Amino acid sequence: MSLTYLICRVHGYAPRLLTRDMILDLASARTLQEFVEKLSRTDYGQKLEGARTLTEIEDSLTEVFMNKLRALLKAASGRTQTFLKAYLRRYEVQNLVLVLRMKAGKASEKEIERLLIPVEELGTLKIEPILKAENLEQALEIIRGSKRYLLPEKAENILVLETSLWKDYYAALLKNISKTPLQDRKDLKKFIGLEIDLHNLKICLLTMDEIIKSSEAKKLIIRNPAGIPRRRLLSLVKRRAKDLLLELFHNYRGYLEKFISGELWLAEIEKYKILKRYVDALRIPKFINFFYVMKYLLDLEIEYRNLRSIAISIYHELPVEARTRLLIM
Amino acid sequence: MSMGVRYTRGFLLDLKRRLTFVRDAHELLEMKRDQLVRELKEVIEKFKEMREKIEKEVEELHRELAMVHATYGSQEILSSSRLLKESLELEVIPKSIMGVDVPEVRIKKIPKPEEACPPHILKLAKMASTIIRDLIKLAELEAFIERIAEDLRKTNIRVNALEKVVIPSYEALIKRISDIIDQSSLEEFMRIKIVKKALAKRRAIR
Repeated sequence: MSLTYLICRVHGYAPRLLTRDMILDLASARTLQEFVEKLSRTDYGQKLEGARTLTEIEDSLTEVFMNKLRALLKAASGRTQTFLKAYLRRYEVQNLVLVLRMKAGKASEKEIERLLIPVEELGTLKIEPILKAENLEQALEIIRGSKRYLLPEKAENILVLETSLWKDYYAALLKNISKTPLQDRKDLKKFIGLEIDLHNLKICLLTMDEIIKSSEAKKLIIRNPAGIPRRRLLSLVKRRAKDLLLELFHNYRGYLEKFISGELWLAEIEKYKILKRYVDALRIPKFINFFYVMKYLLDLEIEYRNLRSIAISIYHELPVEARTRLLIM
Repeated sequence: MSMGVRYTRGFLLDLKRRLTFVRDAHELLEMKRDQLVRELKEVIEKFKEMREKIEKEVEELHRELAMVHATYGSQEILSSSRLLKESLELEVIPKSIMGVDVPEVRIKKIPKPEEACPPHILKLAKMASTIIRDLIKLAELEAFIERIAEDLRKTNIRVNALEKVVIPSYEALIKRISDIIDQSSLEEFMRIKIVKKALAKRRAIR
């Protein structure tokens, strides 16, 4: 299977993504039942059949999302598939973060299992032995032993461990960019660099607010060859000047402003908006390139996040205006 | 009122002493009632303010929870909540106010969100922590109001009983006994007079 085949398949999948109007229509649903009914006419219909509670709906949405990712991975081959596998490992990292937190909180195997994303072949680690670990230390030993992730020997808190996992993920991902077509590498690097920049800026602001210790910030800022250098960020952290961050990184202004205002959830939404803006700007020239696959992957994740967000906001009976504020469009 | 009524001066004096004691008790109970009313009024005002504050805080917390939940999903919220190591531990100590035992709640241990929560959940966790503290204070005030109100009700019953039943009945009994004693002393006086008159008459005949 060639790269062209993959791109063609993605062109086939892309029209099946929910349109802006459909998402807005779903956001106006009054009950979860109405939301499920409206979604039943789409790809989600089959899995959502019989889903009544929020947990059931969330699980069904995740399952459909994962199935779509699996289908995409199946359509890829060779070096492209290796890169995609490296990219999709982010869901394994998310699972590992959940496992570590739950293990730290002494949760049972069943409790943890219920929360996990059904990653299966998208991951590189066998999760069962980690789940069976008696405590956090044992779980960490298993992860270290797998040699897939380089975890620090001593970590004072979970945040450092989580960041170590993400550091490994991004390092492997940047390394795998060489597996993608030459003409796409620059854009891909920039795209991944954006994600790392946003993570690093978050750490900088949290350190300036003294939520994270300055000594920890060094461990938490990820090296970014495609974005703001680590050394520059560390010097900015020392100066503790939020205004300077706004001035220097005006591309991320929206994200930084929301973060500074204390609404971190809005900053998270803004993060996806920034990524989407970047990808959408490249859309027309990259229409028949590998980057189109990346655009589809991002759109798919945004669709999943939007649907999950709508279901949860309906559950909390948020007004429609508040629900639309939560959407990434 | 059941008591062995004896129409004697000694009993009358005893009754008067008792009445003085009951009147003093009535006065004291009235003072206690007034003080309890004052305390209750003060605490009710505080309770109302606190309740309003908590209602607003809960509303804000729910809004923040909904936003964080919708943005990050259920897994994130559930896994983050697991990171809180300590559980809430309270100590309830009885405190006496005007002889009424009211509970005073002391927080021995409370989970510290800043030590464990991921940064994006921290604001929510801090809000929840503040609300828990306020709710404990509110529960303490509510228990205070309940106990004081119950004691006030009992004190009121006692004051009314003394005012409307005990004191009037004592007064009536004292009056009755005084009347009877007065009447019997008058009778005695008259009897002595008649006897004296008869003796004087007899002496005159002799």
